[in-house]
Amino acid sequence: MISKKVILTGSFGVGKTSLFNRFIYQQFTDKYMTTIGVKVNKKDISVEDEEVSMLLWDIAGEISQDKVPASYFLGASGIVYVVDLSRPSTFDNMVTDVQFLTDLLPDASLIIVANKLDLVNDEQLEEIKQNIKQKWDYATSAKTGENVEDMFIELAKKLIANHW
Amino acid sequence: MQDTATQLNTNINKVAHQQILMDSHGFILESTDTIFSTLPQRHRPVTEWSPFIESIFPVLINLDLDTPEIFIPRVEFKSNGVTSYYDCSFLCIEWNGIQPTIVWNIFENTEDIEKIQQEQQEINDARLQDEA
Repeated sequence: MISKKVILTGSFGVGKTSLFNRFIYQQFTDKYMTTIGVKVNKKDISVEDEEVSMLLWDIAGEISQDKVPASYFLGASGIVYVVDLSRPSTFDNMVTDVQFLTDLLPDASLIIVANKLDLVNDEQLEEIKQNIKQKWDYATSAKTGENVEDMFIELAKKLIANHW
Repeated sequence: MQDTATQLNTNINKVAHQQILMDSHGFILESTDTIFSTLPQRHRPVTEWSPFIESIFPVLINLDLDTPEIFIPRVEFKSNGVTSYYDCSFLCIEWNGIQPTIVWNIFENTEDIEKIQQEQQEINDARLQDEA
């Protein structure tokens, strides 16, 4: 069994806690509750004959990542950076945030997630794609569950590949 | 334990404080048990019952005596449906000839956080409203 710390980070209200709750508890609520500080939980998954224990840190949203307490990043092997497809403002700091995170944790596996896929149509999605500098790896919906499991499995594969 | 606690450069003026000493395998050597009882868990490493500690244990066992105290604020814990918030700090010491001994300080912070959460919720709700 491989145990890895994974942080869920990004601006406030983008759905980090919803992704956390969807992945761990298969639950979703429309009610927005601000996260304060950090909550930690784990989920064991099986990927390519390997058992991976993902120790998830759901971190309170900050408009830019340099505002997050540095100690929250300690020992992280995986990063899920989340933006909100329905709020263009959450794309504003994407490039600098991703740069900040990769500078801070150069060996960590990073996945960029555009959440709230259920709130945009295909046309809007294409338009957003054309207008942002930093591409996402997965578009997800914590509400419907679309791509959530797949995204975490992809991250687990990266964690296994980086494990030594 | 009291001597150890007073020797450490930590904020011990907060309302409730618990100090736990762990060995390099994560077993509890001592605990003040002032916030929660560790007695039922002494037979197994903390990493087996706390995902929080499990997630940072590789960092903790690599701390040196010279490493400055690590402070991790506002950690949410849920127990029996009750949500509590704690500030945590970690330090490496030599204790009773055991080195490394990892000191885990826990400061109860639930009351303060509930106020902060209410304020932050209002701020974030207003921001979301503005963006809509």
